[in-house]
Amino acid sequence: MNVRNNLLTFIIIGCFSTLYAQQYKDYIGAGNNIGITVTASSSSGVSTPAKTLDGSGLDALTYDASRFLGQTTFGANMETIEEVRDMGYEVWIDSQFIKTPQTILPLMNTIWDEIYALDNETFGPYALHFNYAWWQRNMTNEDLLRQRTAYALSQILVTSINSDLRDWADCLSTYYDIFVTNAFGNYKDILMQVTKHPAMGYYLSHLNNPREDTENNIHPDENYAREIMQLFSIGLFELNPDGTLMTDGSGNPIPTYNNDDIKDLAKVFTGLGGGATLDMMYCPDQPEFGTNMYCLDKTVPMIMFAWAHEIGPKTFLGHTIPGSTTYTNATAMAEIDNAVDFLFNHPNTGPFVSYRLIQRLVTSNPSPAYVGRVAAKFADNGSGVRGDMKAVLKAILLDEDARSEAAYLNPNGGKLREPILRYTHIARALPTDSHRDRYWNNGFNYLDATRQHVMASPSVFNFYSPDYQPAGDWSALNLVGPEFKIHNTASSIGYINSVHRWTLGNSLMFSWEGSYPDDQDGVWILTNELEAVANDTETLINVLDKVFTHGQLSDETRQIMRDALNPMQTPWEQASPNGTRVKLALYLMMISPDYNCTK
Amino acid sequence: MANKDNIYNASRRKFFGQASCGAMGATTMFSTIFNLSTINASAAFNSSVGAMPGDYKALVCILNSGGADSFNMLAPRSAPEYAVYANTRSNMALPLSSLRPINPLVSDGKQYGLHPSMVRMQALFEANKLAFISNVGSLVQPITKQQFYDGSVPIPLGLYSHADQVMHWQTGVPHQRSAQGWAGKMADLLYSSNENQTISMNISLSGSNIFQTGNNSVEFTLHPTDGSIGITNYNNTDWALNTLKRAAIEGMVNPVYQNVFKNTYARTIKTSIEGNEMLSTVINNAPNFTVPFSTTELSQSFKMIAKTIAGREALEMNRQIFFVDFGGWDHHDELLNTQAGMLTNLDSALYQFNAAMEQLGIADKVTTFSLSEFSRTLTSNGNGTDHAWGGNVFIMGGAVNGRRMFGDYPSLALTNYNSNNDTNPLEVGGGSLIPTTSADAYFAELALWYGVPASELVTLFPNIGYFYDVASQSNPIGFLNL
Repeated sequence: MNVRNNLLTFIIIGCFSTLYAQQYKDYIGAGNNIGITVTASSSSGVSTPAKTLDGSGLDALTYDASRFLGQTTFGANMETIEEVRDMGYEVWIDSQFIKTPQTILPLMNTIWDEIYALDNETFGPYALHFNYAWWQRNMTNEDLLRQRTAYALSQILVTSINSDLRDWADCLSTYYDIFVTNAFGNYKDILMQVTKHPAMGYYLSHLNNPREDTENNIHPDENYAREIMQLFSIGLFELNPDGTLMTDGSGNPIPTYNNDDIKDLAKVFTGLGGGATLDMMYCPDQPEFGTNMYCLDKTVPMIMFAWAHEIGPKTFLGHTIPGSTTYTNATAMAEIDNAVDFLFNHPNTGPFVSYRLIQRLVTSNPSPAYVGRVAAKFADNGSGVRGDMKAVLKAILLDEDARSEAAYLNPNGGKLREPILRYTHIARALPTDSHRDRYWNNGFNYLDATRQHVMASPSVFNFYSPDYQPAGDWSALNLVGPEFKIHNTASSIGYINSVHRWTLGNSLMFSWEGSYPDDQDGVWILTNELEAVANDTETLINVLDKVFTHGQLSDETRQIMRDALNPMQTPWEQASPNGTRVKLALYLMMISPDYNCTK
Repeated sequence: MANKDNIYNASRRKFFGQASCGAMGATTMFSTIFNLSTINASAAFNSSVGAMPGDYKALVCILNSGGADSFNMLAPRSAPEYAVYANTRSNMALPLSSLRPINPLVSDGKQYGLHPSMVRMQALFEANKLAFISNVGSLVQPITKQQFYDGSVPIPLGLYSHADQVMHWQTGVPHQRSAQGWAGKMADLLYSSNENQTISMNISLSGSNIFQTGNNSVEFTLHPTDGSIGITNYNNTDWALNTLKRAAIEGMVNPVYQNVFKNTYARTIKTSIEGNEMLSTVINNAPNFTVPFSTTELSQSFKMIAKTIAGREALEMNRQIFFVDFGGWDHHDELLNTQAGMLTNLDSALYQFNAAMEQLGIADKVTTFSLSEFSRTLTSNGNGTDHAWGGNVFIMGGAVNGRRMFGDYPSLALTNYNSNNDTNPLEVGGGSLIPTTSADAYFAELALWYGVPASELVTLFPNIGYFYDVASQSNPIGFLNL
């Protein structure tokens, strides 16, 4: 088997070495470039002299806009790409900043009301209904950058349906809406609202966390104290302003905290309970400390019950909250505000958060200089404000390491696209149709196939850690590839077969409300526009390259696609001219290494 | 990196230049072609060090990730020790009457019991098929409480942190961060035991993991219920579309890419395609197991392992390592209820898997063992427990010296800071215990049983010399018949 594969490799390589990739048949001068020298075709991103010669250089600006939208949205169609290309990136970002936030909760409630009206025995609203709302929202919204940023934040400040939270879609929705609402706000507000949200209170167990009881050897729960430091703000080790590790005299990293710091910070996060109760039998009219999640209105923030809050001073990271022997709810809550504020202002928090956001949006391996520039904007947006997400996002997306030709040509740049982003990409880039004019996607099928869906990570450590290093040359190259943690021999094929369903299988998404064939509730891709240009394989590939690979489709993959698509001519497709060719082209595009490893 | 690694790499390169599975080196296109002429030489190298057919052994690792509260899995029953347990654990203590008694063949003079959910594990223990090791944990060197507080002896990096300690249990390198695990390194060392070089020695039911990542090897992931997933219509040649599609896929995944992202993306798919035909056949042909597996993901994962082991001869595998990540033990909250439910699932899965191995007649060739990044504080946080250090692990299989408790079951007393006599020299706050048996010694014994030479242990576990004399020819702990 290996021998045959290796021979095949050899043959393909042989072809590439002699093949001239003529991309535009109708471009004057194509093929007659001997002796012609061009040093640049454009001052932006993806331009190369060779592309000017073969005609594709004319598209450099379009490619670059497509690439930009790959970093800033869940996927863009040709119309949006051209619009942003003509508008300019900063202008577009500014226009996104003022789009109305489109939150999940109201939509989820509407969807649930509709389902419940049809069958009041239905269980919910649970994660399924959150998924419906999330897909419906992200297929129809205009606040593209906000939603993409919200999703990135949901992978830093993690809660997950892989817990009892799955049963409470209102809780999940309001938690996610923290990120939607504050994506262009301030990281301090995000950290504060996350800290007080019952989803986090339940997930990391500082909800109903009482003060110390020495007589019974009961100490405050340390869970949230640990993870807010390790995962949401400062991390395990002292960082330089550019995100690199500080080291001690022996070259070892310097821990940011020890167990004593955690034990004292844990005392701060005591006394929080639910903020309101549901109108249900056996549930109290007013929330009490200890009222459990089932009785709580899980859409309102937790509140303080001073009697359950730890008395006395608390010292962590060299910072002392003086404390008191008696508290009001307000003075006790002020200690939580104080601690969160202190962590937000810790010098680590800027580079720590910046690094993670860059990884989600642009590249797995940002240079220290890039992290440093973004972290500087985190520290001060230019007007003396720390944590301004607008400044941070602009710094990430307009940086030379995101935008320049050098960044595009960097062989170690980019990242493996997240499975979710591949799915939303094809769904948003192409026109679709549906049985019921809606996008209620169940999401669970894709989670099972690829191990990723929104707010569905296995634990608070997200789907992957920021420093995950796959086996192979990565270590020697000193590179990380977080997303590869969920790319294995099962999930990689699960993804390919998902693409098969979307394209050749005519089923882009479906809900669990209807059942085929009597009561359908599906969404499928409309291929007629692509079929119209598919008579010429080259043109079809070029269109897909613009939208999906941002002009980065390699000559090798082009040739593979040609070899598959060219033999497919009538009379195969009398009924649907070019239909299958387009679907196969989409399939091959979406599973190709060129597409999945994006820059 | 130890020098030994380099020596092994040098000899291995002869082989991996042409192998498809696990070949990670920066192979150039030229070397791919070049290796067409070196296959014969490599095959000779391979067979000269290969193991004898029929010499099968498998390790099955169950990672109880999140930090299992293992002092409620194995708890004292003698009156004085139970009184200490009950006082320390407060509202997290299990009632004495609920503990399921066990009768170890070798007694330390005290009585112990298992969590009430561990019904089958109690029976397996009493039937000599299961053993425990008490107070095991990550250690860089042996350390006392005094040394812990004065910092004179190094402690594991990121002690009490999930992300770090779950790594340590998989890497055997607790003093630094490493991207390679000891199962991966064992595969690097012993790859030639298997005729089959297409499918990895390491099979995971839980995706990529550090434990099974080596220098030159990576895991093969099976879906817990679907097993080896093939590409839709990949082998269907009825329609020309499928033939063209398949050729295109081969064209995309077969080349060696210069870009490390594309290379890893494509290689994973290629590995899966190559292993799929054989694995799916084996899995489809597996016998029915007379003791049915439950429908939980954990039991289904063990069923998939059992099916794969049933096909070991068809797969031409003499050595296999399986990995299951059973997460959700981070019981800061709702400890008593949640742990009881999870232990029931664990208990059933172990029983069912053991029955399947006995049905196949190879229970003595398959050793199942548990990892967990740490145990939990003996003291309560009100409704749960927090991160601690030393804990209890179990080992199951026909090769295990069952019905035994190894290591030293520690005192569960808290330190009385008002007393001059230290009431518990192991306790370092909240009921976190300094381990008395190093995780490395535990791993070393499993590695020796699996076939790693004692002289290579230091390659896998750099700190092993602090805990075990590798020249001693004795067992590091004694829980396995070597």
